[in-house]
Amino acid sequence: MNPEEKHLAELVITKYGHFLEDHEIAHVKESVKDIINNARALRNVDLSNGMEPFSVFSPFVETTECDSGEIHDE
Amino acid sequence: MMSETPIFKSVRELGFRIKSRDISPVEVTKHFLDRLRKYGPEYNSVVTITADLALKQAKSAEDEIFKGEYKGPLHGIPYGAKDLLATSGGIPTTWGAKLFESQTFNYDATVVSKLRKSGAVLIAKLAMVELAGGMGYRQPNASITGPCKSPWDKNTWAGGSSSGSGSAVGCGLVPFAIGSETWGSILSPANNCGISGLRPTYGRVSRYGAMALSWTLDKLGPLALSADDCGLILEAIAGKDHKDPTSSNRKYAYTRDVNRKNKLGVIKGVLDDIDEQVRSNFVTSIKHLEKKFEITEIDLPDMPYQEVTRTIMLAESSSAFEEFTEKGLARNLTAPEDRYGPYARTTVLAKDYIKALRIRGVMAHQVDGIMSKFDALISPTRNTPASPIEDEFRGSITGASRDIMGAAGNALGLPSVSVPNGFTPDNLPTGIQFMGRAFQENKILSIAADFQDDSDWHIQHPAELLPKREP
Repeated sequence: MNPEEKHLAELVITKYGHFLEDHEIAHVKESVKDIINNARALRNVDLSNGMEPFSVFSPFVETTECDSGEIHDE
Repeated sequence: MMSETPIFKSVRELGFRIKSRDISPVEVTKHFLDRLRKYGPEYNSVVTITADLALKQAKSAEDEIFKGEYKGPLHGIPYGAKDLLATSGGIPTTWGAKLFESQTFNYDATVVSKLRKSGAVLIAKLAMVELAGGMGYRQPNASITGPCKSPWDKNTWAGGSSSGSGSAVGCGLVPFAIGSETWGSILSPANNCGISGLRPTYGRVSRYGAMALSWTLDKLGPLALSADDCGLILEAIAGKDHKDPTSSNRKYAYTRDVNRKNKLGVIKGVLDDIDEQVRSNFVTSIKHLEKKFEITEIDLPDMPYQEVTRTIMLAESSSAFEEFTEKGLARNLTAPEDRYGPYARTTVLAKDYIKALRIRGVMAHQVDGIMSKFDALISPTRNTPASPIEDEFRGSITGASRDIMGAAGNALGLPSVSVPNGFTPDNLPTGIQFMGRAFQENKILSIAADFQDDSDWHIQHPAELLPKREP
């Protein structure tokens, strides 16, 4: 395991090791390696500063809808 | 008085016969209740039969139709819901896990409410893989109801995670069902059970009341005997819902879309490392489609499709099941790999999750640019036919199997419909999927419906499940 994998696996074992059997801990270590491999593929993609996450956040405000269907701010 | 059994009849035909009062909703419902009781336990496809509710809803439908208040093609037609959809009235919603076997909700999922408004009759909650397979299961028995079986061979798996939704339709226990897909969970059972399944565009159908596995990947959609039926059902369940802020306000009405470029794309490499009979049936389908379409092999931009989809799923599910994870409740799951699956994913870094969301935007624009030149991209629905029920399978979510089309389609929220396209020498069905641009369900449904107009795979049913003629 490389240092990143090792430290993250230790974090999982520290937090959740009491829920896990020994053979399950071995699987968890493999899963952490897979996750880092995934992350490596993502980290290899160059993106410019302006490329935002592809998700939409909408500020929320309670609105009332009048009969015409128009939305008016409170 | 019913002139013919309603079993294995399409929703469109049943609807027509109900509208014309050739058959009554109560009589139809009783037929399907008998089937559910007889075959449901044998195929492990049912969690709860909602007989009292179904008969009440069927009687209401019958009365309304008698009074001339016909609501449309689903009026009076029974259906089953994957057991991750909230249902009120004390009906359990188990999420496929023993741990939640007594879980109830005091509200209905929006899709259940919409189907009730369209007059459909909720007859059963259907089996599923525990927690929709999100914890990394690798075996068919990862469910409160045991391994769900394919209608075509009880020694093979129905697919997952919408296992019961596929099996129940394929066994003729319900005319249609609702399933969910995060990555493969509608198309896989459609493939293995020899039926049609539609993964709608992300946001087309409200997710309110459905168990959340991955908020930006989860979709709800129909499984039925034909692509045409999937369109009828989608029209009933689609639409904006203020309870799901990601639901789209685009109107949807099902029509056969004949405005086409007559071009289909096949991603290079989709036939690598796949089952030989799956490949053979797909090649035969291509030859058939070439009569109407120009078919071109294409390259998708070199992007980490599977890694993006997997990272998003792992990070979001880790948050969705945070309390479950922190309390060590995974210990109570059935599949050994599900018992440790939730823990490693807590190490996905925020920056990597956000990077996945940023790459997703780049992928969305690039892939749409390519898809705009085609009516659809096509591929075998699954690399293999249904696997033996005792065997571990190679899943895409865990990274054991390559699935670029599924990864891209789900990460980008694109619609795809799977329909049967043949059988293996062992008489197991195989499927072909048509994946379209966002919100172009009518295009892919109409191409798939045309394909089914010219073939009979979807009207073949297992001999042992055909209704016996009454003397």
